[in-house]
Amino acid sequence: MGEDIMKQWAENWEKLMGDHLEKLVHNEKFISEMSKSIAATMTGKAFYSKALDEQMAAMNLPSRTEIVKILQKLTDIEERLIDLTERFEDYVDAQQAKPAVKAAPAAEKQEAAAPARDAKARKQKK
Amino acid sequence: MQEQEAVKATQEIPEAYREMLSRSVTKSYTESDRHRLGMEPTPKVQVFRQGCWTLYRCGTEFASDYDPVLIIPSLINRNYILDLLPGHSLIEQMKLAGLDVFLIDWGDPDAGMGNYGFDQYVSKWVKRAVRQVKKITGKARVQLAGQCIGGMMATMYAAHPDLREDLSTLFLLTAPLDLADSGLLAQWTATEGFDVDKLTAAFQGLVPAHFFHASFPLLDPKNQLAKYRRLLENFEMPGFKEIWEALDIWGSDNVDFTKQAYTELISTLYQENAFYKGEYMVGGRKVDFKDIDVPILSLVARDDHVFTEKAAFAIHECKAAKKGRLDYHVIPAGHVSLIAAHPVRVHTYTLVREFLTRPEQLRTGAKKK
Repeated sequence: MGEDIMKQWAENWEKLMGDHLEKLVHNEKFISEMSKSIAATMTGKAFYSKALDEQMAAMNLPSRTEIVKILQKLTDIEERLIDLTERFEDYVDAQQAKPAVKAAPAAEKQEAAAPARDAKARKQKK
Repeated sequence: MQEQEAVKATQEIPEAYREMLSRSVTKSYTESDRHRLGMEPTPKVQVFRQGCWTLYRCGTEFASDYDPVLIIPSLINRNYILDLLPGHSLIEQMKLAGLDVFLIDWGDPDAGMGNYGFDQYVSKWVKRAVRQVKKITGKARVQLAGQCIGGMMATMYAAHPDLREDLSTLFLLTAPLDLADSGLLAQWTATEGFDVDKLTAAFQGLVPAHFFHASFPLLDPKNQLAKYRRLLENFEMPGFKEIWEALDIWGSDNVDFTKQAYTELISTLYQENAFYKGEYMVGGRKVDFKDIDVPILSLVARDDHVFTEKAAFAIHECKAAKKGRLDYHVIPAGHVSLIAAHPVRVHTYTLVREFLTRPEQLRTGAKKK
Protein backbone atom coordinates (compact mmCIF):
# COMPACT_ATOMS: atom_id res chain seq x y z
CA MET A 1 0.00 0.00 0.00
CA GLY A 2 2.80 2.39 1.01
CA GLU A 3 4.55 1.59 -2.23
CA ASP A 4 1.41 2.43 -4.19
CA ILE A 5 1.06 5.80 -2.48
CA MET A 6 4.68 6.65 -3.21
CA LYS A 7 4.32 5.52 -6.80
CA GLN A 8 1.16 7.51 -7.37
CA TRP A 9 2.63 10.60 -5.75
CA ALA A 10 5.78 10.32 -7.88
CA GLU A 11 3.77 9.78 -11.06
CA ASN A 12 1.56 12.79 -10.38
CA TRP A 13 4.53 14.98 -9.61
CA GLU A 14 6.38 13.79 -12.71
CA LYS A 15 3.41 14.45 -14.97
CA LEU A 16 2.71 17.86 -13.52
CA MET A 17 6.32 19.00 -13.67
CA GLY A 18 6.81 17.47 -17.11
CA ASP A 19 3.83 19.27 -18.59
CA HIS A 20 4.82 22.53 -16.96
CA LEU A 21 8.44 22.36 -18.15
CA GLU A 22 7.39 21.28 -21.62
CA LYS A 23 5.19 24.36 -21.93
CA LEU A 24 7.91 26.57 -20.54
CA VAL A 25 10.66 25.47 -22.93
CA HIS A 26 8.36 26.04 -25.89
CA ASN A 27 7.27 29.46 -24.69
CA GLU A 28 8.92 32.11 -26.87
CA LYS A 29 8.49 34.85 -24.31
CA PHE A 30 10.18 32.77 -21.62
CA ILE A 31 13.09 31.86 -23.94
CA SER A 32 13.48 35.45 -25.07
CA GLU A 33 13.55 36.76 -21.50
CA MET A 34 15.97 34.03 -20.44
CA SER A 35 18.30 34.87 -23.36
CA LYS A 36 18.20 38.55 -22.56
CA SER A 37 18.87 37.90 -18.91
CA ILE A 38 21.87 35.64 -19.66
CA ALA A 39 23.16 38.15 -22.23
CA ALA A 40 22.95 40.94 -19.64
CA THR A 41 24.85 38.83 -17.10
CA MET A 42 27.50 37.98 -19.68
CA THR A 43 27.88 41.60 -20.76
CA GLY A 44 28.44 42.50 -17.11
CA LYS A 45 31.00 39.71 -16.78
CA ALA A 46 32.79 40.93 -19.91
CA PHE A 47 32.89 44.48 -18.52
CA TYR A 48 34.35 43.18 -15.25
CA SER A 49 36.98 41.12 -17.11
CA LYS A 50 37.99 44.21 -19.10
CA ALA A 51 38.35 46.25 -15.92
CA LEU A 52 40.48 43.48 -14.43
CA ASP A 53 42.68 43.47 -17.55
CA GLU A 54 43.25 47.19 -17.14
CA GLN A 55 44.19 46.76 -13.51
CA MET A 56 46.67 44.04 -14.42
CA ALA A 57 48.16 46.28 -17.12
CA ALA A 58 48.49 49.11 -14.57
CA MET A 59 50.51 46.74 -12.38
CA ASN A 60 52.61 45.78 -15.38
CA LEU A 61 51.38 42.20 -15.20
CA PRO A 62 50.07 40.10 -18.08
CA SER A 63 46.33 39.68 -18.10
CA ARG A 64 44.40 36.54 -19.04
CA THR A 65 43.48 38.18 -22.35
CA GLU A 66 47.16 38.59 -23.19
CA ILE A 67 47.99 35.03 -22.15
CA VAL A 68 45.16 33.72 -24.33
CA LYS A 69 46.54 35.77 -27.25
CA ILE A 70 49.99 34.21 -26.78
CA LEU A 71 48.41 30.77 -26.60
CA GLN A 72 46.55 31.47 -29.85
CA LYS A 73 49.81 32.48 -31.54
CA LEU A 74 51.52 29.31 -30.32
CA THR A 75 48.62 27.22 -31.60
CA ASP A 76 48.85 28.97 -34.98
CA ILE A 77 52.59 28.30 -35.12
CA GLU A 78 52.05 24.62 -34.32
CA GLU A 79 49.42 24.46 -37.05
CA ARG A 80 51.76 26.01 -39.62
CA LEU A 81 54.60 23.76 -38.55
CA ILE A 82 52.51 20.64 -39.10
CA ASP A 83 51.34 22.09 -42.42
CA LEU A 84 54.94 22.55 -43.53
CA THR A 85 55.92 19.09 -42.29
CA GLU A 86 53.11 17.57 -44.35
CA ARG A 87 54.12 19.52 -47.43
CA PHE A 88 57.69 18.39 -46.97
CA GLU A 89 56.57 14.76 -46.54
CA ASP A 90 54.46 15.04 -49.69
CA TYR A 91 57.46 16.46 -51.55
CA VAL A 92 59.71 13.63 -50.33
CA ASP A 93 57.07 11.04 -51.27
CA ALA A 94 56.82 12.58 -54.72
CA GLN A 95 60.61 12.53 -55.10
CA GLN A 96 60.76 8.92 -53.97
CA ALA A 97 58.15 8.01 -56.52
CA LYS A 98 60.26 9.60 -59.29
CA PRO A 99 63.60 7.67 -58.93
CA ALA A 100 62.31 4.81 -61.03
CA VAL A 101 62.27 7.24 -63.94
CA LYS A 102 65.23 9.40 -62.99
CA ALA A 103 67.56 6.82 -61.48
CA ALA A 104 67.96 4.90 -64.70
CA PRO A 105 69.60 7.71 -66.74
CA ALA A 106 71.71 8.64 -63.72
CA ALA A 107 73.02 5.08 -63.40
CA GLU A 108 73.75 4.96 -67.14
CA LYS A 109 75.70 8.21 -66.86
CA GLN A 110 77.71 6.81 -63.97
CA GLU A 111 78.50 3.66 -65.92
CA ALA A 112 79.54 5.70 -68.95
CA ALA A 113 81.82 7.81 -66.79
CA ALA A 114 83.44 4.77 -65.19
CA PRO A 115 86.09 3.96 -67.93
CA ALA A 116 87.25 7.57 -68.05
CA ARG A 117 87.43 7.65 -64.23
CA ASP A 118 89.46 4.42 -64.23
CA ALA A 119 91.84 5.79 -66.84
CA LYS A 120 92.33 8.94 -64.79
CA ALA A 121 93.03 6.83 -61.67
CA ARG A 122 95.60 4.73 -63.55
CA LYS A 123 97.30 7.89 -64.80
CA GLN A 124 97.48 9.30 -61.28
CA LYS A 125 99.04 6.03 -60.05
CA LYS A 126 101.74 6.24 -62.69
CA MET B 1 -0.84 5.72 8.83
CA GLN B 2 -0.42 6.53 5.17
CA GLU B 3 2.66 8.58 6.01
CA GLN B 4 4.20 5.67 7.91
CA GLU B 5 3.61 3.35 4.98
CA ALA B 6 5.12 5.84 2.59
CA VAL B 7 8.22 6.11 4.81
CA LYS B 8 8.44 2.31 4.94
CA ALA B 9 8.24 2.14 1.15
CA THR B 10 11.05 4.68 0.90
CA GLN B 11 13.17 2.55 3.23
CA GLU B 12 12.66 -0.46 0.99
CA ILE B 13 14.44 1.22 -1.92
CA PRO B 14 17.65 -0.76 -2.57
CA GLU B 15 20.83 0.73 -1.14
CA ALA B 16 22.56 0.24 -4.49
CA TYR B 17 19.90 2.45 -6.10
CA ARG B 18 20.50 5.19 -3.54
CA GLU B 19 24.22 5.05 -4.27
CA MET B 20 23.65 5.27 -8.00
CA LEU B 21 21.26 8.15 -7.51
CA SER B 22 23.77 9.98 -5.38
CA ARG B 23 26.57 9.51 -7.93
CA SER B 24 24.28 10.67 -10.73
CA VAL B 25 22.91 13.76 -8.98
CA THR B 26 26.31 14.93 -7.75
CA LYS B 27 28.02 13.79 -10.98
CA SER B 28 30.77 12.34 -8.83
CA TYR B 29 31.84 9.71 -11.33
CA THR B 30 35.45 8.63 -11.37
CA GLU B 31 37.71 6.63 -13.64
CA SER B 32 37.08 3.57 -11.46
CA ASP B 33 33.35 3.75 -12.28
CA ARG B 34 34.17 3.63 -15.98
CA HIS B 35 36.54 0.75 -15.35
CA ARG B 36 34.00 -1.12 -13.19
CA LEU B 37 31.41 -0.92 -15.95
CA GLY B 38 33.90 -1.93 -18.66
CA MET B 39 33.33 1.19 -20.73
CA GLU B 40 35.23 1.68 -24.01
CA PRO B 41 35.83 -2.05 -24.51
CA THR B 42 37.71 -1.73 -27.81
CA PRO B 43 41.47 -1.18 -27.44
CA LYS B 44 42.81 1.85 -29.28
CA VAL B 45 46.25 2.79 -30.53
CA GLN B 46 47.22 6.43 -30.87
CA VAL B 47 48.48 7.07 -34.41
CA PHE B 48 48.55 10.86 -34.58
CA ARG B 49 48.23 13.77 -32.21
CA GLN B 50 48.04 17.52 -32.68
CA GLY B 51 47.27 19.91 -29.87
CA CYS B 52 44.22 18.57 -28.12
CA TRP B 53 42.96 16.17 -30.77
CA THR B 54 44.12 12.63 -31.34
CA LEU B 55 43.62 10.03 -34.03
CA TYR B 56 43.20 6.46 -32.81
CA ARG B 57 43.21 3.16 -34.64
CA CYS B 58 40.72 0.81 -33.04
CA GLY B 59 41.29 -2.84 -32.17
CA THR B 60 44.37 -5.03 -32.36
CA GLU B 61 43.87 -6.62 -35.79
CA PHE B 62 44.09 -4.15 -38.64
CA ALA B 63 44.15 -6.25 -41.82
CA SER B 64 41.03 -5.52 -43.82
CA ASP B 65 39.68 -6.05 -47.31
CA TYR B 66 37.66 -2.86 -47.16
CA ASP B 67 38.46 0.82 -47.32
CA PRO B 68 39.30 2.06 -43.82
CA VAL B 69 36.61 3.82 -41.81
CA LEU B 70 37.33 7.18 -40.20
CA ILE B 71 34.81 8.28 -37.58
CA ILE B 72 34.25 11.94 -36.75
CA PRO B 73 32.45 12.20 -33.43
CA SER B 74 30.40 15.14 -32.25
CA LEU B 75 32.12 18.17 -30.78
CA ILE B 76 29.62 18.46 -27.97
CA ASN B 77 30.23 15.17 -26.15
CA ARG B 78 32.96 12.56 -25.87
CA ASN B 79 33.46 9.98 -28.57
CA TYR B 80 33.04 6.92 -26.33
CA ILE B 81 29.31 6.89 -26.97
CA LEU B 82 30.41 4.97 -30.07
CA ASP B 83 32.15 2.39 -27.90
CA LEU B 84 30.14 2.49 -24.71
CA LEU B 85 30.00 -1.04 -23.31
CA PRO B 86 30.55 -4.55 -24.64
CA GLY B 87 27.51 -5.34 -26.77
CA HIS B 88 26.61 -1.67 -26.87
CA SER B 89 29.37 -0.52 -29.14
CA LEU B 90 29.20 0.52 -32.77
CA ILE B 91 32.98 0.35 -33.07
CA GLU B 92 33.03 -3.19 -31.67
CA GLN B 93 30.53 -4.19 -34.37
CA MET B 94 32.59 -2.53 -37.10
CA LYS B 95 35.64 -4.45 -35.94
CA LEU B 96 33.69 -7.72 -35.91
CA ALA B 97 32.77 -7.00 -39.53
CA GLY B 98 36.50 -6.93 -40.39
CA LEU B 99 36.80 -3.17 -40.86
CA ASP B 100 39.88 -1.10 -40.10
CA VAL B 101 38.44 1.66 -37.92
CA PHE B 102 40.00 5.01 -37.06
CA LEU B 103 38.47 7.35 -34.54
CA ILE B 104 39.08 11.03 -33.88
CA ASP B 105 39.08 12.19 -30.28
CA TRP B 106 38.61 15.96 -30.22
CA GLY B 107 39.88 16.08 -26.64
CA ASP B 108 39.63 19.25 -24.59
CA PRO B 109 40.28 22.36 -26.64
CA ASP B 110 42.29 25.08 -24.94
CA ALA B 111 41.81 28.82 -25.07
CA GLY B 112 44.49 29.07 -27.76
CA MET B 113 42.12 27.36 -30.17
CA GLY B 114 39.38 29.90 -29.61
CA ASN B 115 39.63 31.34 -33.12
CA TYR B 116 39.17 27.95 -34.76
CA GLY B 117 35.74 27.16 -36.14
CA PHE B 118 34.28 24.43 -38.30
CA ASP B 119 36.42 25.49 -41.24
CA GLN B 120 39.57 24.65 -39.29
CA TYR B 121 38.11 21.39 -37.99
CA VAL B 122 37.11 20.19 -41.46
CA SER B 123 39.61 21.68 -43.90
CA LYS B 124 42.64 21.16 -41.67
CA TRP B 125 42.08 18.55 -38.98
CA VAL B 126 39.70 16.11 -40.63
CA LYS B 127 41.77 16.46 -43.80
CA ARG B 128 44.89 15.70 -41.76
CA ALA B 129 43.20 12.68 -40.17
CA VAL B 130 42.16 11.40 -43.62
CA ARG B 131 45.72 11.89 -44.84
CA GLN B 132 47.08 9.89 -41.91
CA VAL B 133 44.57 7.08 -42.45
CA LYS B 134 45.47 6.87 -46.14
CA LYS B 135 49.15 6.88 -45.32
CA ILE B 136 48.91 4.23 -42.61
CA THR B 137 46.67 1.86 -44.54
CA GLY B 138 48.05 2.51 -48.00
CA LYS B 139 44.48 2.79 -49.29
CA ALA B 140 43.59 5.59 -51.68
CA ARG B 141 40.14 6.24 -50.25
CA VAL B 142 38.45 6.32 -46.90
CA GLN B 143 34.91 5.60 -45.71
CA LEU B 144 34.02 8.70 -43.71
CA ALA B 145 31.57 8.42 -40.85
CA GLY B 146 30.18 11.19 -38.68
CA GLN B 147 27.90 11.33 -35.69
CA CYS B 148 25.66 14.29 -34.85
CA ILE B 149 27.65 17.51 -35.46
CA GLY B 150 30.47 15.22 -36.59
CA GLY B 151 28.07 14.02 -39.28
CA MET B 152 27.60 17.57 -40.44
CA MET B 153 31.38 17.95 -40.57
CA ALA B 154 31.70 14.70 -42.54
CA THR B 155 29.10 16.05 -44.98
CA MET B 156 31.09 19.28 -45.36
CA TYR B 157 34.14 17.20 -46.20
CA ALA B 158 32.25 15.04 -48.70
CA ALA B 159 30.84 18.16 -50.34
CA HIS B 160 34.15 19.99 -50.63
CA PRO B 161 35.36 20.11 -54.25
CA ASP B 162 39.03 19.60 -53.27
CA LEU B 163 38.50 16.98 -50.60
CA ARG B 164 35.70 14.72 -51.79
CA GLU B 165 38.08 12.59 -53.90
CA ASP B 166 39.40 11.07 -50.67
CA LEU B 167 36.13 9.31 -49.92
CA SER B 168 34.59 6.09 -51.12
CA THR B 169 31.47 6.29 -48.93
CA LEU B 170 29.79 8.55 -46.40
CA PHE B 171 28.05 7.25 -43.30
CA LEU B 172 25.91 9.73 -41.36
CA LEU B 173 24.54 9.01 -37.94
CA THR B 174 21.86 11.42 -36.69
CA ALA B 175 23.51 14.17 -38.70
CA PRO B 176 21.63 17.45 -39.14
CA LEU B 177 21.88 19.33 -42.43
CA ASP B 178 18.84 21.58 -42.61
CA LEU B 179 18.71 23.37 -39.29
CA ALA B 180 15.69 25.59 -39.94
CA ASP B 181 12.75 24.41 -37.81
CA SER B 182 14.81 21.43 -36.77
CA GLY B 183 13.52 21.24 -33.21
CA LEU B 184 13.70 23.04 -29.93
CA LEU B 185 17.32 24.17 -30.31
CA ALA B 186 16.43 25.82 -33.61
CA GLN B 187 13.43 27.47 -31.97
CA TRP B 188 15.57 28.81 -29.14
CA THR B 189 18.23 30.22 -31.42
CA ALA B 190 15.57 31.86 -33.59
CA THR B 191 14.02 33.59 -30.61
CA GLU B 192 14.20 37.36 -30.42
CA GLY B 193 16.95 38.38 -28.03
CA PHE B 194 19.09 35.28 -28.63
CA ASP B 195 22.28 37.17 -29.49
CA VAL B 196 25.23 34.79 -29.58
CA ASP B 197 27.81 37.60 -29.48
CA LYS B 198 26.36 38.98 -26.28
CA LEU B 199 25.94 35.52 -24.81
CA THR B 200 29.60 34.68 -25.33
CA ALA B 201 31.05 38.18 -24.77
CA ALA B 202 32.60 37.22 -21.46
CA PHE B 203 34.34 34.08 -22.67
CA GLN B 204 37.92 34.15 -23.85
CA GLY B 205 38.77 31.41 -26.29
CA LEU B 206 36.37 28.81 -25.02
CA VAL B 207 32.69 28.53 -24.24
CA PRO B 208 32.61 26.34 -21.14
CA ALA B 209 30.71 23.07 -21.36
CA HIS B 210 28.56 23.89 -18.33
CA PHE B 211 27.30 27.02 -20.11
CA PHE B 212 25.55 25.28 -22.98
CA HIS B 213 25.01 21.92 -21.34
CA ALA B 214 22.81 23.55 -18.74
CA SER B 215 20.18 23.83 -21.46
CA PHE B 216 20.43 20.22 -22.67
CA PRO B 217 18.16 18.60 -20.07
CA LEU B 218 15.51 21.14 -21.10
CA LEU B 219 15.41 19.69 -24.60
CA ASP B 220 13.54 16.71 -23.24
CA PRO B 221 12.28 17.63 -19.75
CA LYS B 222 9.82 14.74 -19.41
CA ASN B 223 12.52 12.21 -20.13
CA GLN B 224 14.81 13.88 -17.60
CA LEU B 225 12.17 13.66 -14.91
CA ALA B 226 11.41 10.03 -15.68
CA LYS B 227 15.01 8.92 -15.72
CA TYR B 228 15.39 8.04 -12.01
CA ARG B 229 11.95 6.43 -11.86
CA ARG B 230 12.83 4.26 -14.84
CA LEU B 231 16.03 3.21 -13.12
CA LEU B 232 14.12 2.14 -10.02
CA GLU B 233 11.46 0.31 -12.00
CA ASN B 234 14.02 -1.64 -14.02
CA PHE B 235 16.64 -1.97 -11.32
CA GLU B 236 16.53 -5.75 -11.23
CA MET B 237 16.50 -6.15 -14.99
CA PRO B 238 19.82 -7.74 -16.04
CA GLY B 239 22.14 -5.19 -17.63
CA PHE B 240 19.79 -2.23 -17.23
CA LYS B 241 21.60 -0.38 -14.47
CA GLU B 242 24.97 -0.82 -16.17
CA ILE B 243 23.80 0.77 -19.42
CA TRP B 244 21.87 3.43 -17.50
CA GLU B 245 24.95 4.41 -15.54
CA ALA B 246 27.27 4.28 -18.56
CA LEU B 247 24.94 6.64 -20.43
CA ASP B 248 24.72 8.91 -17.40
CA ILE B 249 28.52 9.05 -17.15
CA TRP B 250 28.75 9.90 -20.83
CA GLY B 251 25.99 12.51 -20.56
CA SER B 252 27.75 14.29 -17.74
CA ASP B 253 31.19 14.19 -19.35
CA ASN B 254 30.98 17.36 -21.39
CA VAL B 255 33.47 19.25 -23.49
CA ASP B 256 34.17 22.95 -23.89
CA PHE B 257 33.51 24.48 -27.32
CA THR B 258 35.93 26.81 -29.07
CA LYS B 259 34.31 30.21 -29.11
CA GLN B 260 34.45 30.45 -32.90
CA ALA B 261 32.86 27.01 -33.41
CA TYR B 262 30.10 27.86 -30.94
CA THR B 263 29.40 31.20 -32.59
CA GLU B 264 29.32 29.60 -36.04
CA LEU B 265 27.06 26.80 -34.87
CA ILE B 266 24.52 29.24 -33.49
CA SER B 267 24.67 32.14 -35.90
CA THR B 268 25.85 30.70 -39.23
CA LEU B 269 24.56 27.15 -39.08
CA TYR B 270 21.40 27.55 -37.00
CA GLN B 271 20.20 31.12 -37.48
CA GLU B 272 21.33 31.55 -41.11
CA ASN B 273 21.09 27.85 -42.01
CA ALA B 274 24.09 28.57 -44.26
CA PHE B 275 25.23 24.99 -44.77
CA TYR B 276 21.87 23.85 -46.04
CA LYS B 277 21.72 26.84 -48.36
CA GLY B 278 25.15 25.98 -49.78
CA GLU B 279 26.64 29.23 -48.53
CA TYR B 280 28.99 27.85 -45.91
CA MET B 281 32.71 28.25 -46.64
CA VAL B 282 35.26 25.55 -45.88
CA GLY B 283 38.90 26.06 -46.83
CA GLY B 284 38.01 29.17 -48.80
CA ARG B 285 35.37 27.44 -50.93
CA LYS B 286 31.63 27.15 -50.69
CA VAL B 287 30.41 23.67 -49.88
CA ASP B 288 27.09 22.41 -51.10
CA PHE B 289 26.00 19.02 -49.83
CA LYS B 290 23.78 18.66 -52.88
CA ASP B 291 26.99 17.92 -54.84
CA ILE B 292 27.78 14.78 -52.87
CA ASP B 293 27.99 11.82 -55.20
CA VAL B 294 29.47 9.00 -53.09
CA PRO B 295 27.24 6.24 -51.70
CA ILE B 296 25.65 7.36 -48.44
CA LEU B 297 24.17 5.62 -45.43
CA SER B 298 22.11 7.98 -43.30
CA LEU B 299 20.64 6.73 -40.04
CA VAL B 300 18.14 8.94 -38.29
CA ALA B 301 16.53 8.55 -34.86
CA ARG B 302 12.76 8.82 -34.95
CA ASP B 303 12.56 10.04 -31.34
CA ASP B 304 15.55 12.38 -31.56
CA HIS B 305 15.21 15.23 -29.04
CA VAL B 306 18.18 17.17 -30.46
CA PHE B 307 17.18 17.38 -34.14
CA THR B 308 13.95 16.44 -35.84
CA GLU B 309 14.01 14.03 -38.77
CA LYS B 310 13.56 16.96 -41.15
CA ALA B 311 17.11 18.12 -40.39
CA ALA B 312 18.56 14.85 -41.69
CA PHE B 313 16.02 14.24 -44.45
CA ALA B 314 17.63 17.00 -46.49
CA ILE B 315 20.27 14.50 -47.60
CA HIS B 316 17.70 13.30 -50.16
CA GLU B 317 18.50 16.45 -52.14
CA CYS B 318 22.04 15.38 -52.99
CA LYS B 319 23.24 13.87 -56.28
CA ALA B 320 23.89 10.46 -54.74
CA ALA B 321 20.28 10.20 -53.58
CA LYS B 322 19.02 11.04 -57.04
CA LYS B 323 21.17 8.24 -58.45
CA GLY B 324 19.81 5.73 -55.93
CA ARG B 325 23.01 5.66 -53.90
CA LEU B 326 21.45 6.72 -50.62
CA ASP B 327 20.47 4.24 -47.92
CA TYR B 328 18.22 6.18 -45.57
CA HIS B 329 16.69 4.62 -42.47
CA VAL B 330 14.62 6.06 -39.65
CA ILE B 331 15.24 3.99 -36.54
CA PRO B 332 12.57 3.94 -33.82
CA ALA B 333 14.91 5.11 -31.04
CA GLY B 334 16.51 8.24 -29.56
CA HIS B 335 19.53 10.35 -30.54
CA VAL B 336 22.08 8.02 -28.94
CA SER B 337 20.00 5.01 -27.96
CA LEU B 338 19.88 3.90 -31.60
CA ILE B 339 23.53 2.90 -31.31
CA ALA B 340 24.10 2.45 -27.60
CA ALA B 341 21.10 1.33 -25.62
CA HIS B 342 17.80 0.42 -27.21
CA PRO B 343 17.38 -3.21 -28.37
CA VAL B 344 16.90 -1.75 -31.87
CA ARG B 345 20.63 -0.98 -31.89
CA VAL B 346 21.17 -4.52 -33.21
CA HIS B 347 19.28 -3.47 -36.35
CA THR B 348 21.44 -0.33 -36.57
CA TYR B 349 24.61 -2.43 -36.33
CA THR B 350 23.39 -4.71 -39.13
CA LEU B 351 22.70 -1.75 -41.42
CA VAL B 352 26.12 -0.24 -40.72
CA ARG B 353 28.05 -3.47 -41.21
CA GLU B 354 26.17 -4.28 -44.39
CA PHE B 355 26.80 -0.83 -45.88
CA LEU B 356 30.47 -0.49 -44.97
CA THR B 357 31.35 -3.95 -46.26
CA ARG B 358 29.23 -3.75 -49.40
CA PRO B 359 31.18 -4.53 -52.57
CA GLU B 360 31.93 -1.54 -54.81
CA GLN B 361 29.71 -2.72 -57.68
CA LEU B 362 26.67 -2.84 -55.38
CA ARG B 363 27.22 0.73 -54.27
CA THR B 364 26.23 2.23 -57.57
CA GLY B 365 22.53 1.78 -57.03
CA ALA B 366 22.38 -1.83 -58.21
CA LYS B 367 21.15 -2.85 -54.77
CA LYS B 368 18.06 -0.72 -55.18
CA LYS B 369 17.15 -2.44 -58.43
